[in-house]
Amino acid sequence: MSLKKTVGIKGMTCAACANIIESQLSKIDHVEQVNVSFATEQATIQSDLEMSDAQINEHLNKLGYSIRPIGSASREDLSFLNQHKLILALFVSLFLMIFHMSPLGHYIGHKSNQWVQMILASVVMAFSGRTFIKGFWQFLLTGKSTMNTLVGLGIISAYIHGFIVILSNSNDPIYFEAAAMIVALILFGKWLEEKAKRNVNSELQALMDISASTAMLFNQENELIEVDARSIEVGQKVQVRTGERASVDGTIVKGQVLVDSSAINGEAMPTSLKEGDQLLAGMLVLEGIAVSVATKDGKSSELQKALDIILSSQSSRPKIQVLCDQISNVFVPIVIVISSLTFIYWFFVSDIGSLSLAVNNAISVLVIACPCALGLATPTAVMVGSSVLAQRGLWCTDTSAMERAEKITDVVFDKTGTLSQGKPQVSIYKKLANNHSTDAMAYSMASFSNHPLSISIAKSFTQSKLSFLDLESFEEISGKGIIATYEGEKWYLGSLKFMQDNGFDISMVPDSESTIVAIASKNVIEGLFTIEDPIKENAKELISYLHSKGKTLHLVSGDRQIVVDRFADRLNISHRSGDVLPTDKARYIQDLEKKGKKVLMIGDGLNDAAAMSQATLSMAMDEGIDAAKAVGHVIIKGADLHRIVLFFEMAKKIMSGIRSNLFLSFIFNVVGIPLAAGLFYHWLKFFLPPNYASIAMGSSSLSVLLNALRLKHSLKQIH
Amino acid sequence: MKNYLFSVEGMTCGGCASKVEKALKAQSSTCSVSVDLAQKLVEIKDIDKTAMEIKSAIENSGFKVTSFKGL
Repeated sequence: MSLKKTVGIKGMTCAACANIIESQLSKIDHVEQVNVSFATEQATIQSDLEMSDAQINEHLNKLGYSIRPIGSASREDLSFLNQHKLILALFVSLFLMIFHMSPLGHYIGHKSNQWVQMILASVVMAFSGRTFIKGFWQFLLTGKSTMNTLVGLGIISAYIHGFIVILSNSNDPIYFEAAAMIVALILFGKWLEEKAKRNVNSELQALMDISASTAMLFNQENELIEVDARSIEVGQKVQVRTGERASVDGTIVKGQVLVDSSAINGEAMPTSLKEGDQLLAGMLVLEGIAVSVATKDGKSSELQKALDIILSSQSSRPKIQVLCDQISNVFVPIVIVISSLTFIYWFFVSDIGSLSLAVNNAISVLVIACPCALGLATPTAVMVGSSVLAQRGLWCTDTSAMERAEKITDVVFDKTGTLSQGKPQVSIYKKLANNHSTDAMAYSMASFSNHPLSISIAKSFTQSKLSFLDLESFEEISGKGIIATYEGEKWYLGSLKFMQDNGFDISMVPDSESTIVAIASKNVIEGLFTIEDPIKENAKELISYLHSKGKTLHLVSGDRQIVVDRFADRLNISHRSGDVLPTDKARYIQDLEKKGKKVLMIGDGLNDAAAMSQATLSMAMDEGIDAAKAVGHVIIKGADLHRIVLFFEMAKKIMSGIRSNLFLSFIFNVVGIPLAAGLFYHWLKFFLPPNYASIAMGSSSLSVLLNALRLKHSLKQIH
Repeated sequence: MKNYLFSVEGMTCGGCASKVEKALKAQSSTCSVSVDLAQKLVEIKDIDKTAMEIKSAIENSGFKVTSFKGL
């Protein structure tokens, strides 16, 4: 058996860290798969043996990271100490600049000035720059390189170079100020990045925030006490009041409430719930007070499952990112090589070269190179995307779904519960005889039974204000019909077969592709109900949307061919196939895929599971009863077909967001590294100072994050 | 006041029987209830509720009514 666990990770500075953690954790016994996301700062670990947080933490500590609770987001990362590091670095660097530039430099003499600069730089390096030096040290020890390695190598080179200049009494320029400035600017950039990242994260945070952390529980003495929501067990009673969110899934046993359930299933209108209705965790009570009995424990509510799905999907990666990861794996070593070549060229080869110029350029290369932006590009867009999708009732169990959506050529629909409501309704009621008690009898008999057809018949009379007849006897013959007595008369309600079995003449009932239920008494069929499964509200909109996108549509159903044909005609679906068994559905899709088609299967989850696993992309309808039962890449909450249109529109935006993010991060490196190496000197007559390089590097990550925020904004515009 | 005989599925022991009895007494305190577990029958005497109300009382306590007749 394979177990999935998601933990938060503290201490990652760039995408390379995520790669290191991933590769090291994968080596642990029993671990099958590890996905680490730098953007969410989370790892999803799949293992065949349960692992405790402490065990994982132990492994992480060896690598220089640690575990943090999920949901605490990166709040702590902007800790007191980090901010102090930044403030100290900024302050000392500015002071250093004054010495470096003049006028203080002239006042105290050249030699003393150099020493003062060195001391100030040492302070910054020792306190604020420690993480970078540690990164460099880790590289020497393990050969694993991260962004910190590059920065660490840069500032150490600058520092050592200055030291040599002082000792050798030469008149070369020194770069102590650059070392301190780089530390200050990169910390500043990180601080901004952290802020932006938190903003990107806020979508996910919004989802987490709706999971109430405490609940008001009735204890054994029937007193109300406040407890941790996760500790609630099945069968315990909790109370919710106006303004509170339900903390567990349960059934209302007392009271009536008006709730906003938009966070759970995207339902925009407030719903009124009464005794016997389901009150789900995350629903916000707008009005009223209710007592509910937990039907699931605090840890396994629908909401919690949704969070688990979204959290683990965010660590899963779209294919587009795999390439990106491969690049960032070799990125740091390549940058070190380019930096060395830069040094060699400007020191040994170039006519205008000198040691200081060579050091200047080599450090700039190290500092401007930005694996960070590269690493953030895809995950930030995916994170923003899947969180906004989730808020619209579209749960992605696999983030590659957005990528796959682009390639879809064919859409295969299941019928019942997918395009149709899956709840039968009486479409025609025809009275054959003039018996005034037929309606009331049909209503009373149907109300006594829980069969879906009976429910639909009873429902069809709710408008007509009939009163219940006090039946004298009642008997339900499972799967066939109902026999009841009223005022000494025997009445029958059931299928045509049932009527025939009881000696009624059904020859005058016409053939129909719909389900027919008859009501009869005294040897006469009194009335006929034609019962159909109506088309869903947004089905036509979805179908014409998909047609306009040039997709080929298929309707494949287990229903009789005649029913499927009529249904497909009404929706204008050209390819249709009836009497199809679940396994044949899978084969149908397999055949399409063999022809090179990319199939999207939309079904109601459970009985379409085989077909769904065969399709390139699958979507499962979920009525909000049990998300865990639903399979598929995307779960459509509330089984609302309009959400499929939303998904296609949003997936397109998200993919273009990912692409523009990748473009941004690539262009920064493609332009920045040669510029820093002095490749364009011939034309520009300009060398990039190391501290400018550090500004450029910070802004690349920032631009990627801002682009992700822009994506979030534009996704929210889609309705 | 009326008398009924209900067929109820799902009752397996005395506990179930008393659960049904309690549910019915809650509806009408004056009625008398006797349960025949083997025959899956519940006999209700002197009750002032309709069959529909009795049926939902029994079904709300977790059992299924398959038929009933007035006595």
